[in-house]
Amino acid sequence: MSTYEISKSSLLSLKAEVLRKQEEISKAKLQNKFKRQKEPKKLTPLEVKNKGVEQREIQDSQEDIDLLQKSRTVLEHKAQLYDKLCSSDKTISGEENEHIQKYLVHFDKKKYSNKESSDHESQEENFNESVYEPAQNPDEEWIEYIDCLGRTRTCMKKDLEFLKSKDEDLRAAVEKDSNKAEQLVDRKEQENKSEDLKPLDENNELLSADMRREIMRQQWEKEEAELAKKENIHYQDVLFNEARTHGVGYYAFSKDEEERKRQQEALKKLRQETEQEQKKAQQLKQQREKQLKARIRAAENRKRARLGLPPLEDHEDDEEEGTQQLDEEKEKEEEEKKRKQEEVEKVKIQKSKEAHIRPWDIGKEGVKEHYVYSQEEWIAKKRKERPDEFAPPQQYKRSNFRSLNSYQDNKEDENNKNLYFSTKKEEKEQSKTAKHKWKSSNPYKNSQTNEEVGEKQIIDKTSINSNTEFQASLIVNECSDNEDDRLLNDYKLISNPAKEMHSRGRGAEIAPPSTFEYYGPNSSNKKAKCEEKQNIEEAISAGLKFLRNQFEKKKPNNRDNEMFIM
Amino acid sequence: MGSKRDTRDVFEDLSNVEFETSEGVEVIDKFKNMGLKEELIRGIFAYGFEKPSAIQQRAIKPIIKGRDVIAQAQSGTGKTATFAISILQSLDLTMRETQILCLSPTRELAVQIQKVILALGDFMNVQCHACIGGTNLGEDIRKLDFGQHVVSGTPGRVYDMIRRRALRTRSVKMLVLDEADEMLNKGFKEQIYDVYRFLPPSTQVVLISATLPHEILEITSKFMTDPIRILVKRDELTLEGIKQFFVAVEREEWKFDTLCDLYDTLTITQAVIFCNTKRKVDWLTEKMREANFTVSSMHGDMPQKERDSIMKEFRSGQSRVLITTDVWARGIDVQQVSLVINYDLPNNRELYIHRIGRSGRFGRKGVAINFVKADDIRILRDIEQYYSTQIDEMPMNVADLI
Repeated sequence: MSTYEISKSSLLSLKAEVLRKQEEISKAKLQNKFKRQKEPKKLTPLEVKNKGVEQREIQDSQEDIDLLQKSRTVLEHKAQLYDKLCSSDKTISGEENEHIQKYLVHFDKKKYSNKESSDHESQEENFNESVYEPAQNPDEEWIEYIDCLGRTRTCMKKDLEFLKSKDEDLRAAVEKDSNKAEQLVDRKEQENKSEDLKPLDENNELLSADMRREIMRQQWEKEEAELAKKENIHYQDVLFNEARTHGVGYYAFSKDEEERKRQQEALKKLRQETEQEQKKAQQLKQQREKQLKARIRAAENRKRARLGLPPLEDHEDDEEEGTQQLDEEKEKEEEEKKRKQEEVEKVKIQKSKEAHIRPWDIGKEGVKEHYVYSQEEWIAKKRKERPDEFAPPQQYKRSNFRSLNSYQDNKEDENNKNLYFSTKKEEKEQSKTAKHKWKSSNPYKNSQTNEEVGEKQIIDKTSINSNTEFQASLIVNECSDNEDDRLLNDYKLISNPAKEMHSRGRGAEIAPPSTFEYYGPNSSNKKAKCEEKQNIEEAISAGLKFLRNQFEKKKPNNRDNEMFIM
Repeated sequence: MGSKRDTRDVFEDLSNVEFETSEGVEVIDKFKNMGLKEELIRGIFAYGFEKPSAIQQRAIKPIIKGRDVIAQAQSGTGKTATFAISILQSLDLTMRETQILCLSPTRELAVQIQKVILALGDFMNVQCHACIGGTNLGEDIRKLDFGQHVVSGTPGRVYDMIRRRALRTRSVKMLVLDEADEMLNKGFKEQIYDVYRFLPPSTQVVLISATLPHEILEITSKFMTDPIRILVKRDELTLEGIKQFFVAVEREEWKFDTLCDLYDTLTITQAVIFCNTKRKVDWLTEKMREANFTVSSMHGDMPQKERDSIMKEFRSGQSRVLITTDVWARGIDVQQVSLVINYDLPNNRELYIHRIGRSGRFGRKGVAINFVKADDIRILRDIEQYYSTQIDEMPMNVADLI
């Protein structure tokens, strides 16, 4: 691919270059790193902190740590003491024993319970006895009482009064609560009862999907039954729980007609109020502006008076007001003009519509029973109905009419519009494609290209019909002696290539179909110069017979035509 | 437009005429500047529209003016609202007679249109009746007797009501054909003609659809007068917001497994699965339920009541996955649908546009997944090329796109 010579030395130098670059990059990277470190970190707003906050935090946390440390040491101390008290029951000296007396806890209890867990109650008694000091006066004696909830409790005699009053309070509170609870229970029962009657709530989470669906269906059926009774149906009536997001201005009106009316009235009122307020606000604003202007003017005038000048004239203000009013009027006028214009347009459209008769409208009341055809339209219509067999034979080839070529070019547009006389249903497709090609490849100039037969057919037909010059020559031709040729051309396929060659050689002198006058393009009074010949008679009768057959065959399925004219 | 030219239209062969958007269509980019009734504007904002979509900016005004209009726009861009707004604007509410007739191909769509008209006209207190088959005839007659401003229906029942003289057409001034290409197709055209014959001559006609093939535009000259055309080129017909994918399967049976694998994705919001036949819908529903997946299904052979309930369930979000036929392909608007699966490829190109248009409603995102067997890929490529769009192989993270 490349034309460069690659030598060893160049490769080496390339390598060296690469190495150098790599080194540079790594250096640059290092420097960058350094630089980046040097750069002060940009803080996001979230990271920015007030001054002293961090210090305070450290201080706070230090305090916390100190506190925790303290509690830890205390707890450790306690644990030590506990261990000591628990373990050293035998080695306790008298002094220590005294010390132990200080604690109201029976430290040996656990040991005992481990040893003799059998008799629990006696132990408890033991415990009680040892825990509570013997009463020193009657007030401090332990007594038992039963509270409002039926619990047996113990307390000192002197505290009994206080505890009793507390118990009263508790009872009151409890009674209140129980009442509430009862009510709740009652309500629930009621609800349960009513639920049996009412349909279940579709939002209930406990329902299965099928159940929910069933409930919805029932609800919808009920709604629909109600709908059947109603005279006026509105959006809410047909919404049926549709999950649709509406606009901000959405207002779900009531399904009840009167309620709906009331809601609409209320909305209307609100809207009017809003509009009035807006207007008022605007007026107020204008007024204020006006006042401000007046004050400014007064000040100016005073100034001028002091200077001995005449006061300013008042015109401007009036003018402004005047222009405002004018503007409003103009707007109104314009609106009216627009409206009028639109109305005029509407009328115009209506008129143009009435002037045009649509095929599907024909036969309706106020429309003509039949469409009145012009001569050309009638011919065009009849041509459409003509069986293919009566169209000019395919043997007429474009190439045969050399004399026409130049003429035809000018007439092309005209032909396009209204001169197909065999656009029959089954041929439509063909003619569509054919015409398309015809346009694109301009067969007039090189008619010998491989055109399709159908294409030629169309060209032939159009040319025959549109060209008066051509007709003249045809008529002459018809009277020629060469009758056999003509008939052959009309009714039989040309079987003899030699003859065909012969006829082609004569250019435009090709004979026309004998039926030509019959179906000719214009109703000009051409006289048949042809003498009556038996051959022709036969041919015509055969043709008529065929036509009849065709017609009878076609009769049952001509719906489309009916729709067309009626 | 001289009438002379118009009469010749009748005979002109339109098969080679290229239809284009009419010249000089005014674009109005604010509802407020359209000269609408105040109550109507309130209804429009309440429904959730803030700024008119492209089609609304162009088509509303000419319809209000009384012109015949052929309007085409991408799926889910507010076509229904376009004609609903125009209808409501042209109504004379003091006269309680049917003034506007709106025909659509399916009953569900007719009901939906009724809903939209009622919603937009809520502040106007408009009366709109859904006149559809499969419902009680007597009730229909009674409702029409009350007097309805607008009737939205399916051609069969509407024609029936007209013939029974329950629906008086004397005051009808506008005929709207939603999904016009479907309505003027072989199956419906004669029914439309039958209804049209009962309308006053030169009634205003409005055609609306996302797809308007040439042959449909050709026949419009038979019942429209110098229509305004607002058309969309077919390479602009698919929406950017709807991503299209395909999953290649070797055999038909594998489609089912693929669907099961996708089920979790389906239930992220709501999904619609299209099959080509009613029988296949039944079969697939059965099979999905056997495999313990919750799905609902709907097709034209079900009784209307059942169809109704299923629609309501789906609209309310009670059911999330719907297996259905092409009865659901056109026009139905459920905001939450974000995924469409073509279990079978549609039978024509138009249906493809309509099917994938069930997702991605009014600017939302959507995903369409096509299940294709080896020989289907050719069809898919044809669709891709025809609409100049892109259909890629489904990525693993398809759930993220919903």
